[in-house]
Amino acid sequence: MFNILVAGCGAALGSVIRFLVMDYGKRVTKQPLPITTLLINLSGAFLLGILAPLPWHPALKLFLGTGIIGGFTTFSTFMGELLSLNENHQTIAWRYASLTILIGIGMSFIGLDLGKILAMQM
Amino acid sequence: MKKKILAVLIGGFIGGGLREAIEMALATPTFPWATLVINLTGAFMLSFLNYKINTRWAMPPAVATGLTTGIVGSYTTYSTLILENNQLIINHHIGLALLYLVVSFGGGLLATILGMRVGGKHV
Repeated sequence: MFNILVAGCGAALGSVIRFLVMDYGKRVTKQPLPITTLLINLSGAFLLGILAPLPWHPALKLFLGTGIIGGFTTFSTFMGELLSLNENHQTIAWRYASLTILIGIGMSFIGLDLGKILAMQM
Repeated sequence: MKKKILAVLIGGFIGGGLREAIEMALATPTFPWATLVINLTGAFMLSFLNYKINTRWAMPPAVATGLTTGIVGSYTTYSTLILENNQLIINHHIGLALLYLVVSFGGGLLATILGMRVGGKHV
């Protein structure tokens, strides 16, 4: 029950940050590529990669990782955007999917390496 | 705007808590079943809810945002999926990593289409 509450509190914060960033993105971006969701997911993958190897207290990692970063990034919105892009902008839909998946994996690997280096300093 | 932020805060708490509950209940040593189940059911729920809200279900905008951006957006997660995929690669489970990606993203698309259909869209 404690874990659920800790993750829930972090996810509440992460979701609000995502909502505010998306709201700002809607006002400043004009291209069909959902650049805001892309940046949210890529930065989240990077940050979770850094966090994973750190020797911090499990409850803190749960709050930051599963909570804030997990609530910040989103899979369902990405899927919805991908399908609606596919109706009129198929090339952009493919570009969006490959950028999200491939760059995300790369960002996560770079984050993991950085996290390991940081963990050695601690 | 303030109402929407509050709705996302509450929804985000519920969605994230639910995700952690499922992660604990379905924890497995190698293949990340829990996150897969979470992301596929969440993709289904988001497109189902979005379709219903756009066509049939009348509700205050803040409630709709709390349900979609809040609960479902927080319930599903992209960062954990990518981390788990990379951990599978690091542990030399390349085949499982590929399978995880294909089933997550391919299955997520199918779940999203299914959500719209169950919601009533003829596609």
